[in-house]
Amino acid sequence: MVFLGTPEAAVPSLRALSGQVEIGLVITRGDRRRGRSAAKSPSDVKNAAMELGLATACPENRDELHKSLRSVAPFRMGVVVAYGMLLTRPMLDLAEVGFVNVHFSLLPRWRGAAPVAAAIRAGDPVTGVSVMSVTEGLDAGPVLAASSVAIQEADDRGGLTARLSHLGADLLTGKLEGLMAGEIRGTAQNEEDATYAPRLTVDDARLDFDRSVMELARQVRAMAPRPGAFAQWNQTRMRILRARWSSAPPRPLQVGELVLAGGDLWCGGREGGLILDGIQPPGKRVMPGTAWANGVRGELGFLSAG
Amino acid sequence: MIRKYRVAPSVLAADLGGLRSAMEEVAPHVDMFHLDVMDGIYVPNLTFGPPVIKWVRPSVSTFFDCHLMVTRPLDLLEPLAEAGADHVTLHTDVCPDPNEAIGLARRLGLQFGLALSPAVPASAIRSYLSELDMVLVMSVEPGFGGQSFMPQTLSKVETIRRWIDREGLGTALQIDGGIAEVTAPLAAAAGADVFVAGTAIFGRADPVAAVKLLRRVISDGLLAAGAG
Repeated sequence: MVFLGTPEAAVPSLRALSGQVEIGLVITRGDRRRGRSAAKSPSDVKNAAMELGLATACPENRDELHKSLRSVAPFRMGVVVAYGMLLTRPMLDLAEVGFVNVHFSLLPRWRGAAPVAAAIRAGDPVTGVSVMSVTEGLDAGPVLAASSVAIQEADDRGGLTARLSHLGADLLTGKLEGLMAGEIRGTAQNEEDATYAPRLTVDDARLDFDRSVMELARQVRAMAPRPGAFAQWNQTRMRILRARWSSAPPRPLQVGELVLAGGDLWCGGREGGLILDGIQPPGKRVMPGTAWANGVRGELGFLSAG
Repeated sequence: MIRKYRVAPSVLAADLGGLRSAMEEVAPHVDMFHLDVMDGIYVPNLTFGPPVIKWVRPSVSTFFDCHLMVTRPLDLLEPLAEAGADHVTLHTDVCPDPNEAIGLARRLGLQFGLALSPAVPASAIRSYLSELDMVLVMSVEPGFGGQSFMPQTLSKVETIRRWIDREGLGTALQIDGGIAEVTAPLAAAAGADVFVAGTAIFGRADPVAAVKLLRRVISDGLLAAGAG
């Protein structure tokens, strides 16, 4: 088998599979600069693969990817979990029973690169993982297996992704025998029901004060911990990493108005107030909103869309 | 840096009875309009020509890209130029002497491109590539909107993209037919940089939102191809 994946969310699947089947090659995106360090560091999947003693390759483009795949062809099956490069027909044809992809949503809802953030932001009560057969086209292949989970009020993007990544690993290994035998028949996705979750941009993370506080709280959860929702305060960019909402703030607040009340930091918004539980001023660590507010000299003032 | 790309709504899928307002609505969000001129002979469908283009021209300042699916395209270049077209694309099989067509287009102040139907290989435009402003790879059979994308045409896009990049040309590489959220990222990854979409824009309840979504999935496709 060949495994393709890059971030931490792909690691549980890799570990689970490595205990059950021979993995001839692990393909991952190239080493990248991460955080503030100038040095490039390998992907989470590469680290895990090395720990498991598996061969790795980091093709930089699709020609190199094709070469990497050909170097181990023919192989029984390819498994793709959050890899980050599209596969073309000649690549797909190298696997005897094809490629399967673990996608973190209940397809056809939230095809694309950022399904977990999209599900939280839309207020979906339920999401899940889908194992689909990879075809040419963006997340459009037949669904081979799926498993759902409820989205909790406490779930943020990071936490929910972690849960789904373990669920995906279980789903994959549970169906492995049938998948490797090519015996599982997929169900075509209904194109009419498809929705799309493109890669996140800065605009997705900018708090949208035109929305209700309920939606703002969802936006905060959908962006946390990375990239982190943000708003403007006194010409600086505040990241908002944890927030709750209430339709009944301690007193009527203007949109964006900050006030300390009842042991919480509140921010006014449409249809109520937002309680800022975790914020990060520029250059500082994440702290409770109250801790930050207590250190502010003068007026707390307002948050605005940056 | 992501490769620059352009979105070109095909008005073939718009409400032609209210063409002007359909175009005005999306114009601020798009890079050009794709106008399919068909004569009912070259393809079994009949659309519109210079008169219609002349009447919508004053409504928007957007670039007009005319895709000629007609048996005698050279006769139309002058009327199209007068109607306000910015670019014409001709099919290779009705353009036996591209150099003559390119010369005529240049004299009329038109940009010029050649189109490849699914059955025509990339080699048909190879020797003219450096003279072309755009190459159009058809990913459905020309004639009607609403057809399904033919993925096998992507290898043609990849080939032409390699030629363009190797020679450092500024030629645009357009894909037309079945382009929607599922297929646009593939075409982007293969090397297309002008995306014609009809039904996926004008067939949606909110065409402007549809354009924005297409842009985002195209960017994702470029990143996923390592072109980012």
